[in-house]
Amino acid sequence: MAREASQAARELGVDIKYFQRHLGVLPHDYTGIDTSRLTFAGFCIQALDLLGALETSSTEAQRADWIEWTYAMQIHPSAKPQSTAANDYDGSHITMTYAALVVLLTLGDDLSRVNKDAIVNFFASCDSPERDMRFVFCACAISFILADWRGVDIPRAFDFIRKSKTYDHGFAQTPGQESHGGSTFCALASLYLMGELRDGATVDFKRTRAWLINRQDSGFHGRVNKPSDTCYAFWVGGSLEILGSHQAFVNVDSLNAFLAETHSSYGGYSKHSDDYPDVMHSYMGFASRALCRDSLVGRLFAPLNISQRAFAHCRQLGLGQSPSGAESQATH
Amino acid sequence: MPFSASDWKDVVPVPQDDGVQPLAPIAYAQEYTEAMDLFRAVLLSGEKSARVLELTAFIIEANSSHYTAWKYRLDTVRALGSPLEDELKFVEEVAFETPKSYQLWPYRQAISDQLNQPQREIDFVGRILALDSKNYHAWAYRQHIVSKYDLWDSELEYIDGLLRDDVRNNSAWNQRFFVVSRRPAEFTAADLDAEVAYALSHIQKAPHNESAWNYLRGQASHCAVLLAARAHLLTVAAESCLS
Repeated sequence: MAREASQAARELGVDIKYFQRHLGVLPHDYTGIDTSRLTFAGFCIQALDLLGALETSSTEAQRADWIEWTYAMQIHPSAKPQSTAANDYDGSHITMTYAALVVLLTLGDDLSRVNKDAIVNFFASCDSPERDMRFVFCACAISFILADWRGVDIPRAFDFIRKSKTYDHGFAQTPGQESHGGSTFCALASLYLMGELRDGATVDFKRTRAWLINRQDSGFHGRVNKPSDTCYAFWVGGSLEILGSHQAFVNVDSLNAFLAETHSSYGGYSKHSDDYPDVMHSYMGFASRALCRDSLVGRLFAPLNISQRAFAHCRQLGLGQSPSGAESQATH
Repeated sequence: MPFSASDWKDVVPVPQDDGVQPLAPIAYAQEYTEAMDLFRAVLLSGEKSARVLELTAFIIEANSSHYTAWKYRLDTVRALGSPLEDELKFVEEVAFETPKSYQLWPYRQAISDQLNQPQREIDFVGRILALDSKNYHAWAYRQHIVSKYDLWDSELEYIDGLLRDDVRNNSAWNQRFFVVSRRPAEFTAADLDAEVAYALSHIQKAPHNESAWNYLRGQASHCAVLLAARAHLLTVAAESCLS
């Protein structure tokens, strides 16, 4: 036992270093993530949190600076940029707003400097043809975290989700598209956060669960007849978790065998066994282990994709609420 | 596409201020830093010009997810009235480099919606799907073009070809469901028979193919009026499976 435990600690050690390294200076090959550095950094910080290493791998002063850096990305309504902070010149971006809130919560910030009115007004301005399930999820996650749902037209979001259900009971990114593990997660999580997740016409729990369970071969794939990919162990596993079915239906041994193949001896997970690891798949690998109640990894609050620790902090702030009066069917 | 710094001597670059302790800072290539410093200056001045097109092209080629650069490029193209044909060529180059990038698709749509050349767009998506017949963004765009220009009939032929290559291509099965359920013609009992027969003939080729079974089940519940046909259909399915 002792030998196993020390082996596990060694394994995590290499992963902790992997995530620490990616918070530091990155080579120019990473220019492609320049506009999503918040998401990228968020994956590292959240992974360190799940690995119980956030406070041992950084100093309090560093974390305070990271909070400042994240707030510097906030765009307040004004005609011109106020500073030359990294992304201040870019327009607001709903995914980055979600990522920023997750980073702030994970770092223990109280969100007191978040400009809620600006976010609500920004949602209202987002009524473009570029609607898809990811953005519905981000809008719901942001509104839930801030316990402020003024920016979401709930009947309309609900209708969009309903129309995006496909003939095989998975959910697609937009109505008519192919069912997809990522959009199914976004759909179920959005319904849960809105307090609208109930077994019935919009989600037939039994049929959607069947679609999800069929996504596991050894690991999970995201679409019918596609190969396993590390990140779907989270997207599909998280969907099953939201339906209260993860523990009963996921074959954890087989998933662990797959994850052992995509894990790198230098730390991190890759998409497939023959790829190099990357930060997104590395985080998702650990998030999926959290859903499996892996004893080396912290617990996850699946609907927001944040640690239970960060979620508890959010609730302590009096935040993290569905719209008043709405409540999802108890699933877990 | 290189941009030439000598064209920008009149502009004072605006460097990036990443604060004291940035998260995941990138050691950008010198040229990218120069381009971004100028781009920030352009965003401040609101300049819309030919050299801005060169500059945004350079930035997008370095980072095809640069949504601000895409948006500013679109604004510039519209302000200058520059040839939309050139933009289609530009998008195609980016698409071949990074076909999974999301941002290029809404840009393509913004341009092509103005040009109204459906066949050209179908050909373009066809070339991208030839690289990866399950590219999710490409299929979304294809659905947009098919619906906008009523290209329902020719779509079924295309899907047949894809399923001949790979009977397990679930994207193609989904596209068939999309066409059959959304084309303006009413869905009749004869259509149901045809779709059931289509699914069954493919199930016989590969009995464990989940895509074809899902399609069959989907068609079975497709039309409430035709529910009576369901019992019949399941008998046929069972027989076909056992035979």
